[in-house]
Amino acid sequence: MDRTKHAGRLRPSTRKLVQLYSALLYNAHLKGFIEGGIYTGKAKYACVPGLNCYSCPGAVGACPLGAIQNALAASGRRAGWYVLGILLLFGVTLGRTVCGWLCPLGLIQELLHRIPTLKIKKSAATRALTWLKYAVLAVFVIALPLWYGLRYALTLPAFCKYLCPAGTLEGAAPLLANPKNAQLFSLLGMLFTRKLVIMLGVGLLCVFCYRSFCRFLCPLGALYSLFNRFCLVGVRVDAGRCSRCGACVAHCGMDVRQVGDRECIQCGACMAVCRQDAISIRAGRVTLRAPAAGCADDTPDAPDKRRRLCRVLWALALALLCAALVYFNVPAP
Amino acid sequence: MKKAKIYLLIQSVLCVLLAILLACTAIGICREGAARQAENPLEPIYTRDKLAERLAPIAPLFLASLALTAAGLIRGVGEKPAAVRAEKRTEPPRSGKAVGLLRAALLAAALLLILAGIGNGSARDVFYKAARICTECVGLG
Repeated sequence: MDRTKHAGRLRPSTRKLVQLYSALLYNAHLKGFIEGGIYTGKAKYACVPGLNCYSCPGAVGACPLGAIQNALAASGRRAGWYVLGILLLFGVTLGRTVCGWLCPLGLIQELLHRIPTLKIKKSAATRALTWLKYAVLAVFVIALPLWYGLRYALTLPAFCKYLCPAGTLEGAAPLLANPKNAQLFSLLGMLFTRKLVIMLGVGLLCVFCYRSFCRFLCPLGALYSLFNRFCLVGVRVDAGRCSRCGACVAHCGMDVRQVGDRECIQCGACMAVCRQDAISIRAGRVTLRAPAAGCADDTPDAPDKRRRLCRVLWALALALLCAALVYFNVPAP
Repeated sequence: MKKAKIYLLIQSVLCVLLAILLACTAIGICREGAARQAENPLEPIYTRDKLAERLAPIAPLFLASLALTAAGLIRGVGEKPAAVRAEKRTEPPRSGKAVGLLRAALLAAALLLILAGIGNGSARDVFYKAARICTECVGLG
């Protein structure tokens, strides 16, 4: 393989940088990893858009899946309007753009898939398996917490307790690795063993099958997929330029039938293979990422405007990250 | 090309082996610990020393897999999944105005729900749960 081409493959893409950025922002409470405790400040009123366990020592926000399970479990006492509103907000604005750009677990899956092994190709079987995540959403996230909450007044976050690999990886592992939490070892038993085995299984599957947790098991992806067709930010196909060759679908690692359907994680990888330059990433009418030849509705100065907008957004993002790192780690006077 | 296939096969087997060994180690520790706990309820199932003792033999395999992965990534070894034949489907384009109205309505509903949630205390419930270690979520019981 040409070394220069290969060196380019190893360089992180813009999307990888955004994923790393969001993982760092969600877990900005870095001193939690040293002190062995979790963040307990007011920022935990807010849910982060991606799947990030709130028991991670670094987590500065709440996990939307954990929050909705707890809200459903408590629905006998109080309606969980807040979590519903948050999920609706993320769904309508971002849809599965969260999965492709803003989810730490998505990043981990993609990194695991980079391990050079034989790979499982997508097929009709994998497409059929994508319906499984809706069953996980219906049973583990909605039905079980609701049933136990209304019937027995018990809080059972069934997905978090029985399935979620993020809790074991992001929560248990860093907590147990800290010598200050030696007393937590006495709490480990069958539940931990089961969760560890599930985490290993999901991790192994991700090595062989691209984003297998995202595609087959993630209930948050299932939820956001309901909004994918009309979310504000996402991949758009210019129907006037599209020749319906199918190269985008063929190249995609997800089980899409069309760009932007329920399985599309809005990553924009299809832009590189579209020979008609028909695909772009937009936020409403604003083009965030244009194909090489520009968009059909571009004005002459549109590329310059986009470059300036990108620079401004990156500057704001870096300022926000620096502010977060200081706010969540420097002790108050 | 054949060398690449052999490398990928070896790496695949190593990954599967590693995952199985780690899982079996955890299950073994849990079973032995549960048996000890049946005799003495105060005995913990997992201890740091037990984990270190059982993970030590797996460490060389893990390091070998890590080294192979690094070598493979540096040399650019990797199987490119063959392109799947795409279905040529077309869908009627959605009306831009209808989508815009739907988005606006849902955004308004989202903001109203958030405000209602702050008012009825469900926002506080989110905070109370998130500000405590969820022992069930992390497998601590």
